[in-house]
Amino acid sequence: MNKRVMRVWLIFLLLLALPASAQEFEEAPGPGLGGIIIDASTSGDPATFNPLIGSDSASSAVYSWLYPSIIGVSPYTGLEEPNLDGAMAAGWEYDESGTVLTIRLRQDMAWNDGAPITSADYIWAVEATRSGQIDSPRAGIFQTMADGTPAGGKIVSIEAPDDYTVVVTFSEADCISFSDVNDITPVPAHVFSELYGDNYAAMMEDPRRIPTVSFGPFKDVEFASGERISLIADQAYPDAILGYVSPAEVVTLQVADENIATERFIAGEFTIIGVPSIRQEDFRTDPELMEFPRYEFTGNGFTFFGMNHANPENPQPGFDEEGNLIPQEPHPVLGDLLVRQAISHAVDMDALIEGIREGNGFKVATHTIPTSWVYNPELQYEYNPALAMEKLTQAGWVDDDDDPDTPRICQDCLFAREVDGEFNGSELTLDLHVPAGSDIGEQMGLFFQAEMNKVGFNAIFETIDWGSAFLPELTGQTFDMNMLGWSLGLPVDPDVASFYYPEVDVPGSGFNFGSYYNAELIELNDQARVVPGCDVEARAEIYARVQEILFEDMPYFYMYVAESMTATQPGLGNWHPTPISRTYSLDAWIAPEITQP
Amino acid sequence: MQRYIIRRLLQAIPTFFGITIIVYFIMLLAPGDPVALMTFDPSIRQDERERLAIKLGVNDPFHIQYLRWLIGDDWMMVDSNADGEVDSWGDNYGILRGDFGSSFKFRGSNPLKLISERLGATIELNIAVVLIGVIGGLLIGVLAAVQRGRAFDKSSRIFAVLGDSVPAFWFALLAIMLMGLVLPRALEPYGIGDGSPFLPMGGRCPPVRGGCPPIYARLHYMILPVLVSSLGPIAGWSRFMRASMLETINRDYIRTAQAKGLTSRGVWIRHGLRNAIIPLTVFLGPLIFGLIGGSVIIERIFSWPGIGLLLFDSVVSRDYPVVMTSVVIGSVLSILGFIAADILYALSDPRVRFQGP
Repeated sequence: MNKRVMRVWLIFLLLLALPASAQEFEEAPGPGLGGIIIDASTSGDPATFNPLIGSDSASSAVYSWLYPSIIGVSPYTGLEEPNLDGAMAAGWEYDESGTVLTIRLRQDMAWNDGAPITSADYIWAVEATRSGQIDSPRAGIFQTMADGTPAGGKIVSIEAPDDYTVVVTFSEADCISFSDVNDITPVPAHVFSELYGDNYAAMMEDPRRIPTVSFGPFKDVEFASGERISLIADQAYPDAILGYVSPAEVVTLQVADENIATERFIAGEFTIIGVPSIRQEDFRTDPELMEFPRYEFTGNGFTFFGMNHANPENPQPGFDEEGNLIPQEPHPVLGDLLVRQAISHAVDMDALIEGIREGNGFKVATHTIPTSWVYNPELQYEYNPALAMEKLTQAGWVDDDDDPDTPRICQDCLFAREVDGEFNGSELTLDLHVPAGSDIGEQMGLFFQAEMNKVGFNAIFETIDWGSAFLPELTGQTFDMNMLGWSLGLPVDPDVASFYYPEVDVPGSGFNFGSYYNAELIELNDQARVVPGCDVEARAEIYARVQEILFEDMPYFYMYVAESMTATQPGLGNWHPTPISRTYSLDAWIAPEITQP
Repeated sequence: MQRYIIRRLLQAIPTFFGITIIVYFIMLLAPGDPVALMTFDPSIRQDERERLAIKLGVNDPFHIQYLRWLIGDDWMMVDSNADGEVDSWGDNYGILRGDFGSSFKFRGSNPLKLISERLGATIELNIAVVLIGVIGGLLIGVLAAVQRGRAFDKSSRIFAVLGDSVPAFWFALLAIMLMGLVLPRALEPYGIGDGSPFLPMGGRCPPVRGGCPPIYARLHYMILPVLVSSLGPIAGWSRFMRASMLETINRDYIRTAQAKGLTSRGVWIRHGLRNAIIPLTVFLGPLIFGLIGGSVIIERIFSWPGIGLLLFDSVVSRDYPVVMTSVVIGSVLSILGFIAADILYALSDPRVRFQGP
């Protein structure tokens, strides 16, 4: 992406954010008089209400209302910003080396028992996480654990010189590690130290202990397993948009099936609902459903067909034990860039999005989503079946019988040239696997199969069970093409180390499933991590080239970003959703009455 | 009888261990790695995954995992800090000493506690289903036998075929749409209701704070799930009962009773029904187990917070401790249920004696 396009895109994103940040809120009836919000969740029971041991979305959906974050993420831009509601950081700066981050904390925050929120609350959480006594997925942000065992991260130390300053020291300058600081949630140290002392492991004995002291617009969790979670308004919350919390209560009801949840919403049982893809068009066109206010936005994740570049018969890690790169034997079909490019020209993604997803998708060609600050709208796959067939012929996959309905065969294709001459004469066969349980996923798999077979593939589509078949073959690197969706965390960062570095090419567990390797991409990505001051524009320039490489190399067939839709009951006041959050203004909502039989 | 019960209980011990060994073996043999499922997140580093696998003990050989589950690991040295070296005695006691371990998925929660949180809802629903199923099935079966060949008998046969063959999820969806959306909206113009659902479309309790109200205050939440769940049992029991009644009324003692001039009702109920019920006591075993067995489909559609969905999720997420705890509870109840059924059968039929093989 050239500089001009990139700047235009950054300005466009900024403009998108401006009207949202200027939202005006109407006055509510009063503190706790704004009605009851009833939401539906399909995520199941939360594992815990303790942010230090929780990692599932159901848990974080609850404790995110009860604890502050150290650094806030803007609901308008999706980026970390100082002085945001519910966050401790008033500002921060790096030293000249870029390895010491000093965070200044707000001094006007207090837990709802009156105790001030200080750096000690964050430090207690840090020490608990680093102790190794608790099963925390966040321990990996540290270079070493408390007992000196390596943990693999870049944070050397986190200290508090005073009550309102936190100093983080990194092993090297790294823009990505900034987000690691936010992985740890401050907890009320005066309560937790009294409960657990330095026996942090005791937290694991009662993971669903109800928090008694909190900081947020809601408090007092009431939990009924498999049924509901209720929180009531906390008028002690100082960051409330209206100066007080409007809703009296927020109730999340468990509904295992999203289609049933939608019907119950239509019947008036819920205040707000995330509309499933399969019903979105109904909400746009059906007069009865159009009465529900809705908000449509491009989602925070993408769907893709992962492509294995290495031979699935012989999965190898990226590095050997001495840290040397292991040369990967190419995949018999997908190891050739020309074949991957042919697939990109063979599948009509517009038809897939319009026909199967009813228009609910935004076509992408790399892993960056349209709301990302490095998104390049110029990168698009071209649908051109004739070009696809030409590329296959170029790659040594020929139509020997001039019958487009029969698969092409290898005549001096890459695998025959470089690995096994006897491969000549083999059919252009691939397995396409999609996790079972999604009708849309199945339709998309069938569509891919049909489109690929039109240009000479023998694509064999199958839906397989996620836990017992899909995941083992994906992480085991024994697949050909598997369809998967990634949901991205906030803030969205374009760094690619977690997906495309040889360090994460580990059969059985690594996330470079397809054994993709490109030295230039790694060099550029490393450069973008150490840009002085982590300047966004300077990083975006580097990532622009990273995107181009990904587009050219096609480690995956990037498909689309799903369009999301949220609908509410008519009359929900102060609902101002953004692409980053549909509920950030929840403490100001004025809820209509919900019907219960 | 005491000797018989003791012998049956002793025979149950190897049965119980056999069940647990087979289930544990199948569970471990099934593809899918609990650690991979728990850590499918690129931000989690490889060494963290390895540490978690060591802590959970899922990489150990089958016999070690099974023994640890059965008798605990306080007799062996374990790698407590997951650094690759054994350093201290284990602290698990095993199920034989009442320690059911810690749930993988629910961050260390006690599996017994997780199951007990859901047990009330399941038992509540299943008792209602069993009562309605058995009573409804018996009534229809007896009447069908009495009215053999007439319209009621033929109708009951059609009902039984439908109840047995039409999938519960279809009935459930139909019931939800009908009572929640279609009928309320269709009848609103006629002044019947205000367009809101006639019956709750899901859940077990009203979404209000303060816990679930007593069952009599929320019976309307049970109507749809119980109705849908009962169709199959009513259909099944009615056919069993009809067949059993017809077999009974052809017996000599029934003819004798009729010859003695007893009323038809007296013959059917006092002599026919009482004897026809005896063979049905063999269903007591599965019935008792059925009281705690959840239905994934019904619970999913009606958002009923029972045990079925918890167990289904546990199997899918390879939460071995929760799965095995449910197996232990289920197998113990099944074994006891079958023993109870045998005893009741012998008690209700004087021709059967308590004799061992």
